[in-house]
Amino acid sequence: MKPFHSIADLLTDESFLNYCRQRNEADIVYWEAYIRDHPLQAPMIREAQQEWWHLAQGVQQADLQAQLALLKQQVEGAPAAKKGARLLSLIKYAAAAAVIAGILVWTFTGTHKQLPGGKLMAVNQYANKAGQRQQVVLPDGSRVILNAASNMRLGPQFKEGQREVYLEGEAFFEVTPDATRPFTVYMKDASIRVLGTSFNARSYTGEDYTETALIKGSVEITLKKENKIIRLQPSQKLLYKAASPDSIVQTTTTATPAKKYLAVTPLTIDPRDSSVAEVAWMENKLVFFDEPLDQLAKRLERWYGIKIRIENQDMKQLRFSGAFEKEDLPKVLQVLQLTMPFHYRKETDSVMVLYK
Amino acid sequence: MLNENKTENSDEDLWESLLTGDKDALYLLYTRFYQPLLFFGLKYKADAPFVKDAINQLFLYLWEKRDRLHVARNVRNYLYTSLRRLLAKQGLQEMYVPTDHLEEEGQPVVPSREDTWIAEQELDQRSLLMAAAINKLPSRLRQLLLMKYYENLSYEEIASKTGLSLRTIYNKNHEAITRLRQDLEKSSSGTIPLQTLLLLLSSLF
Repeated sequence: MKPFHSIADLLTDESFLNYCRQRNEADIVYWEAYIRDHPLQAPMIREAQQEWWHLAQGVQQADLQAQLALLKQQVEGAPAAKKGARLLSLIKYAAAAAVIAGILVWTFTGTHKQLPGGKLMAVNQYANKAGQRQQVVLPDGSRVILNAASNMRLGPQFKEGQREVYLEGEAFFEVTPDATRPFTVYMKDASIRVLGTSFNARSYTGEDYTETALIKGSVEITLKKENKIIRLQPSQKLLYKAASPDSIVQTTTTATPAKKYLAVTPLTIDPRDSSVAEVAWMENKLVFFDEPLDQLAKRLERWYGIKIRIENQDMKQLRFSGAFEKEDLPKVLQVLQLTMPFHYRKETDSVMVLYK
Repeated sequence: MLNENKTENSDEDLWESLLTGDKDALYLLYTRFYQPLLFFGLKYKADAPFVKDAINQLFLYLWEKRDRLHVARNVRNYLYTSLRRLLAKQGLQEMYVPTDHLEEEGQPVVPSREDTWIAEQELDQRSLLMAAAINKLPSRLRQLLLMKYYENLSYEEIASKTGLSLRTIYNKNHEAITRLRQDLEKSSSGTIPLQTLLLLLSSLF
């Protein structure tokens, strides 16, 4: 690891930029630990983080100004000479979508400003904040329950019969059967194709795993990177994690290349009332089974709309199981404390800290 | 007629002024909608230069056809719908011309709050200074910054696009940031630093 002497050193480090954008789990973990272990450098790092924000905003603003200047030229200047310029500008930048996703994720997790309260809902886009859930009936009659901190968009031709939706987060689908018009759910790393069925799909940005849980019917899951199709039987689920693309371009030694993971397992059924853990969220039940704390913390963040920080690295691998109905966060934490030794404190109204 | 303070005009006011040939109204609408439209467009086509180009085409079209456009009841929906249709035609090589009967209330496509929030929030002082400083950089450095901090490409990706060596790109980036910070240092001396200001503000509550 090379030493960082200035803010410019930090702002040109790939790993640090990932940390600023909350992009790469390994980098986030690394920098959180680094800041803790180098308290003398912490102020500089915090300043660099702020400066990154100004830089990112500044570049965006500069882009707007440049594009506006171009428009002015087009409006006021010669109408010719467009074709060439257009072709030139068509050069593809593969990472463009990732940029936006990164920025959006950052605004969700950032601490700068609360989103305005009003929820803007439109016919072909549905978005939930943390702590929100909503039920949606699609134009084809299919029913969708969208979980917290999730986003669903209908494909442009949905009404015309091309049943395609794009999901970021978690949702339960009850698809109206129609053999002639397959229904497809596109997610980050996989897509699910169905004819008529009930299933739960989960693919949160910031979570490595994509999960598909089938209740009844049949689904076909296409894994983008594997070029592979997997069919599920009812009461089965698929858990999938794509190999991390970031691992190829890492410049630091901190990130371990993420391996891919693929498993088909039975659904997790609670023997007491034969409820299915994977879809318990629909009934307002918070259910998790043998879940590591860092993953559980993200689940709680979405559920309660609060930020949770885990102070000690080695706590992240503690595993918890539990089922709750209409309990507030302190109550849940108190119950979990009975199974594992840890403490918690409320740092601000929106931040909870877990520590040993 | 436009208000003196143009930011107080509604989208529809601006639209009306645009129809009567007010270029400033066009530019103001553009400034208002450029970033939300870009975010929105990228969901349909993950190609920033392509979407940016489509946005400019759309506004150029509005300008050239202003005497044939109708009064819009919802400018926002009109713009999103038009851009979406324009992008849907991406396969065609001809420049797309929206149909005249384009109904602005047929299918609302307003993006979620989160999409537009970034674009709509007020920029803080330092980000604005940063933008001004970025525009003063030589265009080559500006391009590198855009790739690194807007498109968030890795050094390897930038290298393969520009043909420059990794070391050169890293050094140029480093140089650009150092220059920007020095530039801001000069221009902001004499004003209250942001952190102090925030501290002052927070002590009020």
